[in-house]
Amino acid sequence: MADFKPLHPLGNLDELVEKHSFFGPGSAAITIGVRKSVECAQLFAGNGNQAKIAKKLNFDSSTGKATETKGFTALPIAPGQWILISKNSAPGFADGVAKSINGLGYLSQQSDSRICLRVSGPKARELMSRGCRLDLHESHSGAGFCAQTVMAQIGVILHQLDDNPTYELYLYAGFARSFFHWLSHSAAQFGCDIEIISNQIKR
Amino acid sequence: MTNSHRMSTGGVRIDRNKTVMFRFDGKTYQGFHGDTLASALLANGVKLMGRSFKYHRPRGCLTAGSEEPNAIVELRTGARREPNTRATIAELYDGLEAHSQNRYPSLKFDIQSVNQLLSPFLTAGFYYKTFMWPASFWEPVYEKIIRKSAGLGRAAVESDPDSYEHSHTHCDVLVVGAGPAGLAAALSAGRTGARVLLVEEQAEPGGMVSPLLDVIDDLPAADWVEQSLANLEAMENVTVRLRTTLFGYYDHNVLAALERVSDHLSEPEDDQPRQRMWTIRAKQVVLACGSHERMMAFDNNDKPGVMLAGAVRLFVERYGVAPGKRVVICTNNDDAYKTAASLKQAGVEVTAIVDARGELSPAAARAREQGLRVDSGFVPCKAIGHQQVSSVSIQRRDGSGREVLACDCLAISGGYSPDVHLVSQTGVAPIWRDDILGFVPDMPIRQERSSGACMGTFDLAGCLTEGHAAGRDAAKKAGVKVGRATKAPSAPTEELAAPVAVWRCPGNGKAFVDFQNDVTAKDIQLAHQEGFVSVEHVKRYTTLGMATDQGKTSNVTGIALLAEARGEPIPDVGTTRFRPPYSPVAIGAFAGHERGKEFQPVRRTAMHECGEKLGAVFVEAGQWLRPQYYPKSGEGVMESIYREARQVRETAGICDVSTLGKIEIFGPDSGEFLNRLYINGWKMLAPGKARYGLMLREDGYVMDDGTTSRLADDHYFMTTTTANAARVLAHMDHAAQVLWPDLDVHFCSATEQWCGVAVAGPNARKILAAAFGSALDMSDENLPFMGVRSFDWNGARARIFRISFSGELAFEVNVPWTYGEAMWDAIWEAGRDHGLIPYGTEALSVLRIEKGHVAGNELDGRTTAADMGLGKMMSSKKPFIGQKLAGREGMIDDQRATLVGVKLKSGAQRLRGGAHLVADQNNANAETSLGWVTSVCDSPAVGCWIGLAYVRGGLAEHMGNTLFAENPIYAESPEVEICSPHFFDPKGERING
Repeated sequence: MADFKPLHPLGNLDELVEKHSFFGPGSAAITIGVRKSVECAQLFAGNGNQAKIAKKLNFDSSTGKATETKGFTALPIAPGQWILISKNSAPGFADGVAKSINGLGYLSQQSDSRICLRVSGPKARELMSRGCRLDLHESHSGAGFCAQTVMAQIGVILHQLDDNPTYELYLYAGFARSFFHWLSHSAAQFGCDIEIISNQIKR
Repeated sequence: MTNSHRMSTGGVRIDRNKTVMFRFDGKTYQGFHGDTLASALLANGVKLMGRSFKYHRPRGCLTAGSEEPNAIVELRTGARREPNTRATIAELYDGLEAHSQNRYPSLKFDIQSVNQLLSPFLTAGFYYKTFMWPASFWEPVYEKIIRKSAGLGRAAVESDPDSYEHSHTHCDVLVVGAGPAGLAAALSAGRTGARVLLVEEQAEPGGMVSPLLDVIDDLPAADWVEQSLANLEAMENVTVRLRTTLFGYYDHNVLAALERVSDHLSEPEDDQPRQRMWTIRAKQVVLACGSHERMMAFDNNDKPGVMLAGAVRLFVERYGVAPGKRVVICTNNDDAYKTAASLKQAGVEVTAIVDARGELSPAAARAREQGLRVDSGFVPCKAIGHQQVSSVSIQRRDGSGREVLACDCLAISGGYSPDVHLVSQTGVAPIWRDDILGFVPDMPIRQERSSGACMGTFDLAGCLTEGHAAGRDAAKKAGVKVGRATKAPSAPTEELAAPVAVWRCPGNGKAFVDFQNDVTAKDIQLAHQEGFVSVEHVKRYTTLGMATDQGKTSNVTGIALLAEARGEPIPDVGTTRFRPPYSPVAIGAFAGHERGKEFQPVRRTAMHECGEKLGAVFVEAGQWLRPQYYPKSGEGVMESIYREARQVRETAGICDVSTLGKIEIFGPDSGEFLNRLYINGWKMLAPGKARYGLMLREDGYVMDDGTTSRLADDHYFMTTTTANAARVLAHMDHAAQVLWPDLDVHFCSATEQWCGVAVAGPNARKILAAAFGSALDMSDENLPFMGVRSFDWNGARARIFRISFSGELAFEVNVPWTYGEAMWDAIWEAGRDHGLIPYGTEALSVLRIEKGHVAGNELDGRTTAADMGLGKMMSSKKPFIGQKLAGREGMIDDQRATLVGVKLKSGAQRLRGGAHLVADQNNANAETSLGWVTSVCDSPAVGCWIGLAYVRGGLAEHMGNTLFAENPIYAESPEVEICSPHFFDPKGERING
């Protein structure tokens, strides 16, 4: 049997950092963080079970914003549908959640479908405006803001983590290189570093 | 001659400590930082800047802004060369290289100026009249002549080295224009706390305000402007963007602007783009875009040195440049007296002010008191001079009192036209105001208001008050609490006397109305004589206002002359509609990042590099890149494709099928949902089994096909074709959300969660058994045809489907994306001893044609299930989407073209897709066509060229018949035999290995 080696859709991340980073930690106006892996699943509430599921999983389903629980962040993407991002990245996250909701809804394993890029730094909001049509002004979107949109012709789920602001962008794996190319090019004028975010361990 | 026309003092925009060297038509000149190309050329005494479009007449700059019709030049050289830029807004930088255009061999001596001699023939509608007969000359002769004389400037041949980008922004209040009204609006809106965006086309704010003569809030206007800018920039809620032209006003208050980020630099700095295109979503808009001064139509009014009076003032005040040493001013309004005052203050001789009005206005009286000569009741009738103006002949409007005045600059003010371009883009029809002789906007359609000169308010105090009120009103309507009233900036009140209409001054020569398109007053009269009455028709016939300046300085005069010709008042003639862009925008800016290979995103599969390593040639399938074929060294395209197809049937092949659409479906009503989507039944499908399904559009035609598997009672896994993945998902969303919200069914794309390979061929089972070992029982009992199993592989969940597109023993294996390469490697390694080869989309297509399986070529949106030979799949026991309309008369007609096989008869060279099938090769036309060939290949398994085709009457009528595959493009008409589309292994025995 061949050696198993999971592959990040952006390829070798160490090489990527080597190629793109010049400024050193914290000194670039933009930092693009590449999450090494994302343990996530799409949750559907069965008809009529929306409130019950939220209660069971202990998150607020009424705000239209991302909500945090101990184990995951729930990104609302449609009525009765969320992308759940695991916080501890233990394998079998989706199975675990599926078990706990006990037939109230369904889980689709999506950990491999998307990559996550984290945009931070003093110019983060300005960089986002280069591709994002949504109003990301602080008066309009704060921490927890979450939306599905299109940037550089590519569908993304956008999640604002904090008011600094820091953004996380989730996009389909096949588009990873195209999107990264656009993002890093657009960020170059501000001064941009790439970092690997490996706080989550895959499986 | 260097800086011969630069005054020793003055010029608020230039920095005399920073000299800048530049070249125009190869000659080196000196200017100052802050100059425009036009101001620097004028400073150096260069008045001749271009040649006109049609007659190649010598032209100098008419204006000092973006409305410039004459001074159109090429900027920069090599790959950065940009034609048709306006010298009046091109900011100077050290080393700037500019060239005049539309002249040969030189600007001073242009051979095509001979056109002027032909000018009696080059009148309105010249092209329509001249290039009509004979028709045989249209393409070979006339087109060449027209093409040669059409167009201006030369685009760069090399690829543009600079980048362009797009950006988006939102605001409560967008203020367009940073003249006095715009600044007042931005200040008042900004003070309410509203999010304000102020955009200004020029590098500096201030608009037409006179920096030293005007006083605002008891400050010289220049100081007030500077202070206002500083105040605005200090407000966190206000953004000011200079060098940014608002060029489009679209629905829902979406607007577009072009920011010239680096055009004022020799090249962009620090990864900055050359230009940035902004999409602005504004809750409310304040238009404060000012007005455009007009020329009067008199003979030779286009001589270099004849300029608009306001522009003359701007050159003096902004750049410290005197466009002439002896200036005659001709006007029909009070504004020109400001120019006179400004020139006088700068020490330039004002020979006379020629005022068309019979009565002295207060401004005229003051000028006369100050010792200026004012000829009231006079108009210019002819500019005199060779390549530039040297004198002007004036006379009373009744023709008497003719006099010639020497001058080297003729400053004309034919009145001001409020700039209604942007508001016209929203659909507002401008209305005529006789008191100002201009069109102003009617009631707004969108969330906007105009203020200041673009609303017809020309006095400074009025502009400030209106701007201030507009800013607050906009903020309030944007939902901002505006608080207590604030005080508007103030200026001394001026009493402006009414202008008098002067359209065509007396004369018989060339009096230009539209300078950029060389349209004269006579052209408009001629158009009317020839029966063109509507302003829209006259515009198109004469090309009035159709140049890149969109007639900013000429439209109103043109409309007035048409009104005169029609003998009707101006409002009855009306205006044409202005359209975006307000001023020219480079294609690069529209394209932004999306150029070359970045035109659209590329989608790569998880196994992309596996294909690359094996030498795959990739093909674009939508946004995806798919391995098309894997040539061995020395192998041609077709050789590679047929070898791959042959080897799959002999041993085994592996193909990346990750791009197929995948949709996970959950819920107790999933089976019912699929029943309604597909034409065939799904409720009886057992868990662990897959089934081929076909779905129709609502109109009854086939939409897509694929296999769908039941993984558990309430869990299905659908696959779609690569091309239709998104369409099918949207179709399902519509069905679930709109048609049947009561169904408890939920689904999402899983296309990118899973990647997949097909392993096909007699050795497929052996290879997969070796690859996955004990993780998977590959026996026929465990995994029968159309069986589906999940298994754990290296800690990942994998799925295997025993389905076959090739007709061979075949499997599709899916694993999560990040495991793709590892899976490919494992199978590749296991296949080493079993003759495993990689095959691409072309071999895949050969294999499916041999089996008679339909694909994209046959699923072309015009075919029914029955056309494809799948009519029997349509269940009559349940309703499904498309069922009713699939039963329409025309859809079940037995003369419809249905799927057949075609086999090339021996002796012929080859078969081609797209060929029409006819019974008689000597009578092949649209009427005798019986159908068409959809897919072809030179089948390795059958041993000859075969194809799939749709033929009227199908196999029932044509089985065994000989037809001709008529291909007029290649002048081929080979004989083919009509046969069953199942060419190879018609009994389907090979799927068992």
